[in-house]
Amino acid sequence: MKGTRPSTAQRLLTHAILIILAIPFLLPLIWMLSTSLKEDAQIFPREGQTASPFAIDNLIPSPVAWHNYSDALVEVPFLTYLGNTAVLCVLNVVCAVLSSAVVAYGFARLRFRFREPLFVLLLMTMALPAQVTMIPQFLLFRELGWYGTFLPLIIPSCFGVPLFIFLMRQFFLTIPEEMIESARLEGASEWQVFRQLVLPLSIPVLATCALFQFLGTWNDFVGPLIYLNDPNRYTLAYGLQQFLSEYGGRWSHLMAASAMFIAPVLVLFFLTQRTFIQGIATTGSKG
Amino acid sequence: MSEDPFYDERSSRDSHTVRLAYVRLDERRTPPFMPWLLRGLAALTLIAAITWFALPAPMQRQFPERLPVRLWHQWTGERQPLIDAIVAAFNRSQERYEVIALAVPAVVSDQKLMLAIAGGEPPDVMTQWSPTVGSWAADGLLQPLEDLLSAEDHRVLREDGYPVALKGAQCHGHLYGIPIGMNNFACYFRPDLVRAAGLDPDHFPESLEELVAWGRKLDRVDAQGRLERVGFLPSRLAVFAPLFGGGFKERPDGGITIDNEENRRALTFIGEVYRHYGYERMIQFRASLNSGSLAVEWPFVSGLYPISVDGQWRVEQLANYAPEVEYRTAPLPPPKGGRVNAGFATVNLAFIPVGAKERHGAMAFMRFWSGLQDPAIAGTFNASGGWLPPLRTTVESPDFQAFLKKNPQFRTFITAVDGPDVEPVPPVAYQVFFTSRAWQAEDRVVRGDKSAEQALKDLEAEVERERGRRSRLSRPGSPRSGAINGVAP
Repeated sequence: MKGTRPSTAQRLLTHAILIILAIPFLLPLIWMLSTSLKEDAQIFPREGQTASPFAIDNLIPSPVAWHNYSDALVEVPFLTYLGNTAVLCVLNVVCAVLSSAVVAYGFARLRFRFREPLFVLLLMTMALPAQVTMIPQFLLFRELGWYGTFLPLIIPSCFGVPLFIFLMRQFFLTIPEEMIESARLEGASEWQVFRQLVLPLSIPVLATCALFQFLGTWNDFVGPLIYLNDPNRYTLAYGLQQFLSEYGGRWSHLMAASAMFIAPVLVLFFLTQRTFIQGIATTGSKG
Repeated sequence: MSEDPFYDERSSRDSHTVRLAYVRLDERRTPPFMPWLLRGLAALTLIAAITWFALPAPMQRQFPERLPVRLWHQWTGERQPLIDAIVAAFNRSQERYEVIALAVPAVVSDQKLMLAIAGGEPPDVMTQWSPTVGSWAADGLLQPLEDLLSAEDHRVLREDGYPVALKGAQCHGHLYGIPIGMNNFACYFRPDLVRAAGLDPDHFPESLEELVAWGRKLDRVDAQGRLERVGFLPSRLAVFAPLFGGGFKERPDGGITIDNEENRRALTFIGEVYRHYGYERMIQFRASLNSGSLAVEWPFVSGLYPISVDGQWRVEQLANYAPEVEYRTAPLPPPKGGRVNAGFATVNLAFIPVGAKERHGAMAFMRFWSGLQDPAIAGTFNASGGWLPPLRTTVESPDFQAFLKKNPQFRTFITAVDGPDVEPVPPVAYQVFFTSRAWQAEDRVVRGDKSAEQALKDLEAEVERERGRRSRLSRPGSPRSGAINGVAP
């Protein structure tokens, strides 16, 4: 099929439509940024003001309260939470991606008895609601003496993540068998084939899984809630809840902290979006 | 590029991937598996070690020689220091126990508690302000406390405590929680807006009918007929029903009074106000407002609800977040021929979960916080938090009296909560179920989906089904069954 380069007018129109469609998704972000720069009394419309909080005159902070950011950093130990979250993210990403890749390679390229039933069994674990395994897992980690430590939040990642195993297996299956055979004929061990041939070819899917794992760990609320009882060990997602009290709460500080919370994720996504989208497309996990 | 010894070979092949394979295989110099694995493990260990040591040390105990008493509470955010102050005061007051407090967000505290109990790691004391004691006691999550209280404690709770505080803490003849605070409801109104509407704020309505008439005068509608301000909008059937002579009370057979004439009149009254404005118009108006649990987003502050029925916690919020707002409080008036001094309240409880390791330390702390040990100290705590104390002597304490002098609008709530006809959500085994379904029933009426009669009839049927289900799942006569003296639904 012969492709034609769209004209400037077509591209402008496309961008205009996309920008309009993006507005509903951007509004909460804009409101968050706007609120993070307001005093509490300015956040919600008062008598005589335009009722909609999304009206332009309500969105522009005046005066701009930059101090909300420094106040938020002081109000809860934000940097401690950030450090804890970073540790968990790094360890979870490394453990989940490496362990899942090894398992996925086995399912994709090694022949062994009960391979298919085992793979189906693995897929079935994805259908198990987290609530079903929550209590047995809790009891297990408690028996191991890990309650109150980071270990229950890290170690499960070292044993493979079913979704990642599935995605990687699908990707590994797209690598031509002839290529792997030729590597074996050259004398490569299975481990060498995996490490020196398959892994370098699988950067998109590895990056996709890494990003998924990073986001999952970054946003994990329930894990820290269940296993951590020491405020010095709290993560950002859990620690941010500390800004809110049931009948109180500083929205301005919460939004400033939230802006700082999502900034690393946004930066990471923009840096890796090309690889991420490639990974999604090649593993057929769109939609 | 041409100096690369592999260049020609690689360029002769079509597939980049095949090139890679050949290059990598030609480059192999190390034995295949173990060194790579060891290098990987070493790298992982290094990362883990660096990050582990970079982490802050776990929180150190202040009094490691004492018996630890672990407290989980729900006062997060800016309210957390209030609890920390109570804990610090207790730890200073004696030398046997150290209370270690943990703030757990209210929305997930139940989940954390259940899992901790199932896993054998519950706290020694837990607080809860939602009406759950009946369900939790029936589910075997709480310990009865009678044996931990002295005769004097029982007497103080019975004689000095507000009746509703004890009603909200007891379930099937056992005391499962120590009241540490209460929440009740009254009218907040804006004198500035009332005056602007030509009304006299010094003469607040003495009947619901008059209150509705006041509200109509405060309404404001824009040129397109959209509501801009609603003078008075009733909500919470549990609050209004007692004024009509009804309310939700536990029946002798373990059920709850739901579908009766008084409750029907109360729910009809609420529904009629919405019908007057038009259900669709009302839904649109409410959708444009915020949920309002926080002071800054409460529509009363923005003047959109000039008369609001709300809890005593708003007094503290208004003082902190909207000190410029002129407001007053008044008891919610009954309808003509209705019942005076009747009302509804919820009770903040501290309780001991099953499996708690330090029961006596837990009770010592609960006695300290609640005022059973010293009402004057509890008066200080309640004044600092703007809480409604469960004991009358606490209200009389110097610090709390100073608080009332500073916040005179709070007195309305003290008066409103002190009466034999003030009721909590009945602490039955299906309490949590009932609370959520009662809200839904009311919501259907104010949306115009059901009549008050139908909503209450359906609610009663639903609740009876749940009571029956619980009864079938449990031994006859146990608290879990929701039946008393073996009378099953």
